[in-house]
Amino acid sequence: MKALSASEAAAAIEAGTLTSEKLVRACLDRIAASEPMVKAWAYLDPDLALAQAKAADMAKGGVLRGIPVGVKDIIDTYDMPTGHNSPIFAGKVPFGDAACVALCRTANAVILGKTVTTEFANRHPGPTTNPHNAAHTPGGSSSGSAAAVADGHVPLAFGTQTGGSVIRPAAYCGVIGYKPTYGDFNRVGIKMQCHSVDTLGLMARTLDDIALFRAVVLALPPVAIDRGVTAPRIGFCRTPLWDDASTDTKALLERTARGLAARGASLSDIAFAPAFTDILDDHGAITAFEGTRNYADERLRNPDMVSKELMGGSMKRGLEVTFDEYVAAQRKAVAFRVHIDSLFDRFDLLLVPSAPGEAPEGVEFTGDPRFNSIWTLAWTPCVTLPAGAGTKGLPLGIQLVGPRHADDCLLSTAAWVAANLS
Amino acid sequence: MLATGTQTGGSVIRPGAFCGIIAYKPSYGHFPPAGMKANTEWLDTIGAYARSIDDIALFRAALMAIPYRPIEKLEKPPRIAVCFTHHKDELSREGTKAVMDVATALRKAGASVIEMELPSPVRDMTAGQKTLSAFDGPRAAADEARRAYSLLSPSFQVDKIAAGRKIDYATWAAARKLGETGRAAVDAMFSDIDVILTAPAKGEAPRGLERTGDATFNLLWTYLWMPCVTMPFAKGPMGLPVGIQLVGRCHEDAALLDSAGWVQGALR
Repeated sequence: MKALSASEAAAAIEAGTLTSEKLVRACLDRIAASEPMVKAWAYLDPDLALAQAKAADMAKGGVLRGIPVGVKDIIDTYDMPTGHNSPIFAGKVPFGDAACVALCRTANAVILGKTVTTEFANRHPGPTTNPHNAAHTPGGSSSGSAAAVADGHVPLAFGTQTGGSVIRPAAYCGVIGYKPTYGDFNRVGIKMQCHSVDTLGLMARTLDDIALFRAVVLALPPVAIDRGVTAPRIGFCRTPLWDDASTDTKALLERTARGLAARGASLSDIAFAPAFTDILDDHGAITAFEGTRNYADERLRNPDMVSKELMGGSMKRGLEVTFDEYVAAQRKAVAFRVHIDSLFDRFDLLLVPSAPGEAPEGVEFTGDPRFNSIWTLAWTPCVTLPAGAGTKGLPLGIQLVGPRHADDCLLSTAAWVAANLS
Repeated sequence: MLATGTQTGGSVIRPGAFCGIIAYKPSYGHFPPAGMKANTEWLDTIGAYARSIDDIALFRAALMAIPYRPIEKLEKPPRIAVCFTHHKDELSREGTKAVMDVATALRKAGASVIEMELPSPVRDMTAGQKTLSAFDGPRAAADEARRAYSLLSPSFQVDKIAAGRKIDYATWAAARKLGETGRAAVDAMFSDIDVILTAPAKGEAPRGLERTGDATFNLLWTYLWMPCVTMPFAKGPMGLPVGIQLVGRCHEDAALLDSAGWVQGALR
């Protein structure tokens, strides 16, 4: 069975031409065949998955009627461990479901299993490889979710983003990643890293699936993609970090901008005000300061079970950021959001890089989140769309950023862009 | 000795006032929230109780993992603004008297004390706070609602879960944006003042155990993300504590605690 999208599968299940059990069996078969190479799953119990599928078929209905979902392993599930890729939590089953997981189950989804995360969603990687080329990382920290969706294990998966951990791995794996407006998705049951920016995000292979999945997590009626939107006003924003992008990425963005303009989009270059050239530093100060404090229990009670990378990295850095520096960064972030809001007076969306380039070689380094962190700090919704491949044959994405609190519009204009990418 | 609380509406400051002790709700986001069960993400703030302002400063440093700096004696009195909020008419006589008596005492001690209204966007924040709190209800408690609904109290089922299901995205998004507008507007007030003097509750602790009181005089500050301290001052007609509340500029908690120390000294 070709890997169906969630929307296709839901329609088939509603029509009675498919059952959740059949769909989940096909996913499990797919996983069994490719998992030795891809290693996307931190926890997968096929019997538990099938039991859920059978229950979903019996229950009938629900927005996600029997669709299997992958859950990043920093998100709680009452019937599966949440391991955080840390020996501290190995095998530990949480008390309850995270809000997003409970809302999926309320919508009659099947929680297929837990996808590999980097340690506490930081840098220390898991074993997952890029399905396009196993010699390359899938990115992180939502490594398993991106690989699982790319490789057809599940049509939908959760990721989280504090720096670039939804958009970047989605781009590296050639799937659609969506980071909503900060605050839209409830974070209960997701391990708290940086309370000022942590954002739950979604991965899928189609924008219709993202729209469906979004509705479930919001617990609001689905809003269909509007395919009648007119050509948008696009701001091509290279960002102050443009020189950190690979030749491939620069060429792709320039080509995309020209192509969309030729198809009727109004296109202008846009840059941040000079005051925000170093905004990445403010993101770094905030995430380091908050992260080391939210992880106080882990680093104080079990320092030997936290990777040296993390203990010596952002945990240590966070204690070196002074409170005054933190407050200054927070005030700058507020000003940055006002500035970014103002850009959307002239544009419907911004076109920006999804990542510096293709997925790096090896699995030790999950890639650089700089092209994502600025938007995570801006709290704006972002979508990465697959847009061809780089010189090594690995996926490249383009990122679209929309105004806050208008995510439905962003998804619809993203559909216009997707339809008009040559 | 020391205790923690949490505030989404008024749940740190108001019980502190009712029990006649010192309570502190920091600026939103200052105390790391990992491990706190979320009620309303946009509002939830961990707070602290102690026997003295000095102890609050010590506790704050520990909870924030920042260097401890004891309360500083101010060189000159803080510039004080009395602000009853637009809920002024709901304040009890003893609550109003406490604020006015404190204002008089602080003037005598050399502080400039003016009366001030909050900027107009703040009027809508009373309804906005209820929107935020309700919207999160069925989402934050999605697991409990799905697997253990009958174990939730009837008030939780109605006021949180059912109420939250009625709110649409536009209303909720507007409430969040209103918070940003309100915060920016109130922050601008602090070019002319150092601390707001207000009531921490409607009055004394209400009779009976069925209800824990009203958050009317707390929820705006919670929503504005501003740091707050309550200290005891007088007794009301039932012989129960009536306190006052001091509210500082967002992020300037150390300055608020210094001002609170000065106020305490001036009231002795």
